[in-house]
Amino acid sequence: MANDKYETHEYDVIVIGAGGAGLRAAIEASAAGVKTALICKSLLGKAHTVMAEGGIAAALRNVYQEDNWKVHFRDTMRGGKMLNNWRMAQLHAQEAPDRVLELEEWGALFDRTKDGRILQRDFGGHRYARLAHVGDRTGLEMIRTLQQHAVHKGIDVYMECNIQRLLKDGDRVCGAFGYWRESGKFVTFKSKAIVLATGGVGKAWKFTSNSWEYTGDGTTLAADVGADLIDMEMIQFHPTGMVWPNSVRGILVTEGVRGDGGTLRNSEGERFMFNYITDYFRAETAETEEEADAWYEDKTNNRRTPDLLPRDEVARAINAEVKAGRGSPHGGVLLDIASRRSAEYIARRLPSMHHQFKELADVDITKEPMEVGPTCHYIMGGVRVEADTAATTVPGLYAAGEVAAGLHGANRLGGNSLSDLLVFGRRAGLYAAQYAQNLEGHPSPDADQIEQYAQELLAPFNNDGGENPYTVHMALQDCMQNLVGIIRTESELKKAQTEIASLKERLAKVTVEGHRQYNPGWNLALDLQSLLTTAEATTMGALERKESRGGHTREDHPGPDPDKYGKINLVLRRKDGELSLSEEPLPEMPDDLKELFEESK
Amino acid sequence: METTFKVYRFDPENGSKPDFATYQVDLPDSATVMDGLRQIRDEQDPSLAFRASCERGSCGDCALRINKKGRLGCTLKIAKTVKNGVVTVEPIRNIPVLKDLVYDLESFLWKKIKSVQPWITPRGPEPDGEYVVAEEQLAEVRKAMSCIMCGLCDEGCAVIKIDKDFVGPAALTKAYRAVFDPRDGQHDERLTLVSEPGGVWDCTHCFEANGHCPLGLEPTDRLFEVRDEAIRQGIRSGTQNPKVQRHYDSFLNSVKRSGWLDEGRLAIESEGLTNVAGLAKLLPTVIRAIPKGKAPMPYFHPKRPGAQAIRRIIDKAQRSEV
Ligand SMILES: Cc1cc2nc3c(=O)[nH]c(=O)nc-3n(C[C@H](O)[C@H](O)[C@H](O)COP(=O)(O)OP(=O)(O)OC[C@H]3O[C@@H](n4cnc5c(N)ncnc54)[C@H](O)[C@@H]3O)c2cc1C
Ligand code: SF4
Ligand code: FES
Repeated sequence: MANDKYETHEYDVIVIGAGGAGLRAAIEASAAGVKTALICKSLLGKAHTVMAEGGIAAALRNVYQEDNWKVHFRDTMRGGKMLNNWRMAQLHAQEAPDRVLELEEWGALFDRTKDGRILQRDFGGHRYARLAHVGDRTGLEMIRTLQQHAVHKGIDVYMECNIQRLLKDGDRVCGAFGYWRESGKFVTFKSKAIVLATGGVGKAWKFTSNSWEYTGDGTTLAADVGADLIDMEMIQFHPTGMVWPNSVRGILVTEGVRGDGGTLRNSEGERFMFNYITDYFRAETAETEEEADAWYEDKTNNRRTPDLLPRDEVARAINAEVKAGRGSPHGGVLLDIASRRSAEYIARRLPSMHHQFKELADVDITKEPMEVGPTCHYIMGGVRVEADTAATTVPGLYAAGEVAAGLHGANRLGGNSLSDLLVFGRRAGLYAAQYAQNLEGHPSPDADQIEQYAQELLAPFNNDGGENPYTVHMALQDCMQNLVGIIRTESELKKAQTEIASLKERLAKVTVEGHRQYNPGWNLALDLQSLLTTAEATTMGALERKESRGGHTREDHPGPDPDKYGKINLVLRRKDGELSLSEEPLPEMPDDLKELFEESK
Repeated sequence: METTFKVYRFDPENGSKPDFATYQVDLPDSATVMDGLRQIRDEQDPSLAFRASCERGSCGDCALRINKKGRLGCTLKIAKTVKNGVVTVEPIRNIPVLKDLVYDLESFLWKKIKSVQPWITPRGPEPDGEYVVAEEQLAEVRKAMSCIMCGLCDEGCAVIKIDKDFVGPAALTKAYRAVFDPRDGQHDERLTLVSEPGGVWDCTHCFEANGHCPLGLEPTDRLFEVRDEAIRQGIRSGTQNPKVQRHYDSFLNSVKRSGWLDEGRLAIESEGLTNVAGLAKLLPTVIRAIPKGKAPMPYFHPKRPGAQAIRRIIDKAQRSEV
C-alpha cells in the first residue's frame, strides 16, 4: 500500500451519521462480525434523533387488539398519498414492533399503562393509538439507549468528523474523505461498504425545526458518486412550529399536544379544522366537535378528530386561515390544550413543551394557548434504496433514515421516522456487512483523487471573492422559504432556480479567514455546497411535478393527477456534473395488498 | 436591547494566551445568549467557535459558563442574566478548552460515564411481549431519565474541581438510572462498582449539582439514593475501597458510644489503624487545625445528653436489619 498523505483508517463498514439510523446500522454491522466505525459531524448524542418528541410508531397490539401491521401499512401508504414504496412500507409496519421491544431489551423504558404495559399515544393519520413514547422526550431515550449499546459493544466512534466526499474504485465506493472539526485536518476512511445515515436538509429553509447539521450532506454525497435521488420535491412542513418570539420561530411543537387532547383554533375561537376535511379522509374523520372529543376516550364508536389529519393537510389549513386574516397576533393560529386538560396532566405528558414555552416564550401552556404555524421539518425524498437491503444504486453504498427515500412517499406520518430509523438502520447495517464480507481484497482509493478533493476543500481560504458564507446561507434560506415553501407555483419555482444558480456563483467567491482549526465559517462554506445541491434538486422536482400531493402543493395545479404523477417517482441523477431528471413508474403493489385499500375506502 | 458580550477567546494555533473579546449586540428582549453568540459569529466574527445543536434545551450541547454560572446558552434569555449591560460567556470550568467556547468532553465527561457502565443487563429470559413495569418502579427511573448529558452538574461540582478522579454527579446520575431499572440483573455488581474510589463515597454533600442541573434532576439526591441502596444491600464499599467500610463502622461506633460524631476518631479509623502512610497524611491537617482550636481529641469524647436513648435506637435498628 502506498503511503497515505493524510490520517487514514481502514474498516469493512463505515457508517456516516450517528442518529438513530446510523447507530442502529453500526450495531447490526458490528454484530455481524465486520470491523465497523461510526462517524458523525457533531458529538455523539446530539444528532437530530435526540430532539424527537412524540414517539415511535409500531402496531404493538398490546392495547388495541384490532391494530396490526396491515392497518399500520395502510395508514402509512394513505398518509403518503400512495407515492410510497409499498415494500418498504410493508417491511416497516411488520418489523417496527420487534425493533421497539428490542430497544427495551437494550435498556429503554417507555411510558406504561396502568397495568405496566407500553402505553401508546394518538398521532395524526394513525388509526389507533400507536406511538410508544417517553413523555415528549422519546428521541432522547432512543439515542441514549442505542449510544450506550454501541459503546458497550466497543464500536469505534469518530466524533466531530465531517465527511465531504465519497471515494470510488471503478463503479463501487471504497471510502470517504473529510476533516476533523477540531483540527481542520483531513482524514481518509478506507472501507468496503458505506452506510449513509446523515439525516435531512431543513437548514435550507428559514423557519425550520431542524438544527445546523441538516444541510443535505448525505443526499449530496450520494448524488456526487452517481446514486439516484427520488421524491426530492416532497418536503414536510410540520403544522405546529413556534411562531413567536421571532428568534425561536420554527422550533417544533410536538403533534403529541393534539394527540393528548389539544385543539387548533383561529382568532375567532373556531375549531377550523372541521372546515378542511378532504374527501380522501372524510369517511374516517369526525364531523362534529362532540364526536371528535368523544373519540379520545372511545375509538370504536367515534371517528378521529380532524386536528389529527396528516400533517400536510393541517399545515395547508393553517396557512389558509392565516391568509384569510383569521390568524393569531404573530401570524400563526392558536393551539389550545390549557382549557381541555388539567395542568397536572399537561405537565406530566408534555414536560418539555411546558418547559420550552416557559423558557423561550414566557407562555404557560397549562394556562394559555400556544401560537403555532407551519415549519420546515422533514424531507420525504432522498437517496433511492432497494426496499429489502437499503442498497443505493451504487455498489457498496447503503442509506437509511431521513437521508433515504421511499417509505414515506409524499408525506410522512408522525412517529414513522423513529421506527424507520430502527427497521432500515438495522437492514442497512446487515446488508452492508454481508456485502463487505463477500468482497475480496482491500479498498484502495485513488491518491490523486484524494489530493484533488483536499484542494477543493481548501479553496475558500484561497478565494478573494469576499463573500461571507453566512450571508449566502441566509439568502438561500429566504429563497427557499419564499419561493419553494408550502404552496408553490411555476413562476416562483423558476425564480428560485435562477436565484440558486446565482447563489452557486456567489459560493465560488466565498472567502474565509483564519485557519482550519474549529473554523465555523469554513465549515459552513463547505456545507453550503450540499445545501445548494439539495435545494436545486428539490426545486427541479417541484417544478416538474405538475399536481398537488402530500408535501408538494402547487397553486397552479391544485388537485392530484392520479393518472400521470400518481404513478411515477421523479428521479434525479448527476450526469456530467449536472443534475438531470427522469420519470420512473412506482413499483407495482401485489394484489393481496391492493385489496387493503379497496375494502375500506 | 443593546448588550455587551464579553466572550472568552482562545486559539491554540496562533500561540496567544486566552483572553476576552468584547462585542456589541442589539437584539430583541426575547433573545437568548445563543442568539447573541450567533449574531456575533454571523455578522462580526465568523471564526468564533461554540457548540449548539437543538437550540431548545434538549440536547445539552451548549453548556457554558454565563455570568459566572453554568447554564444552557440556548434557553437562557439575555434579559434574565445581563448585569449592567454585560453578558460574560466562558467555557465550563475544569475542562481542557479546544478553541474559544469549545471544550474536550471526552476526558471530562464521557470517560467517566463509560466507567460506570450505564447499560443494563436484563435478568431472566426475554419476555414474550414487553416487560411489565409498574408505575412505582417507573417513577424511580424517571427521576433520572431526562438527563441530557450537558455536564453542568459536574461543572458545579466542588469535588471535581480538586479531584479529577471523582466520576462526578453526571456519571452517577447515569448509574442511578441503571441501578433503579427494575429489569437489571447486575444490581449488586453495579453498586459495588460505584462504591469504588472515585465513586459515590467521594461526594462531599455540597449539593452544588442540584442547583446546577437545568432539568431539575437533583443529581446530588440521585447520588445519595444510589448510596442508600448500596447500604441497604449490605454493600458498604467497593472491592478497592475498604476505607468506606471503615468510615461507616467508625461513624456508627462513635455515635453509639457518645451520641456524637467523634471526628478525630473517624479520621483515624477511616484511614485504618495500621495504615501508617494514610495516618501520616492526616498530620498536616491536624497541625493546621490545632491553633484554630479545631482539632478534636480523638477517643476523649464526652457523651451527649440522651446518648443512652440514641444507643437504644441504633441497637433496635440493627436488630431489625437481621
Ligand atoms: C424537533 C423534532 C421532533 C421530532 N419528533 C419526532 C417524533 O416524535 N417521532 C418521529 O418518528 N420522528 C420525529 N422527528 C423526526 C426524526 O427525529 C428524524 O427524522 C430522525 O431523528 C432522523 O434520524 P437519522 O438517524 O436519519 O438522522 P439524525 O439523527 O439527524 O442523525 C444524522 C447524523 O448524521 C451526521 N452527519 C450529517 N452529515 C454528516 C457529514 N457530512 N459527515 C459526518 N456526519 C454527518 C450527524 O452528525 C448526525 O450524527 C422529529 C424531528 C425533529 C427535528
Ligand atoms: S444530571 Fe442534569 S446537569 Fe447533570 S448532565 Fe444530566 S441534565 Fe446535565
Ligand atoms: S443546543 Fe441543545 S441544549 Fe442548547
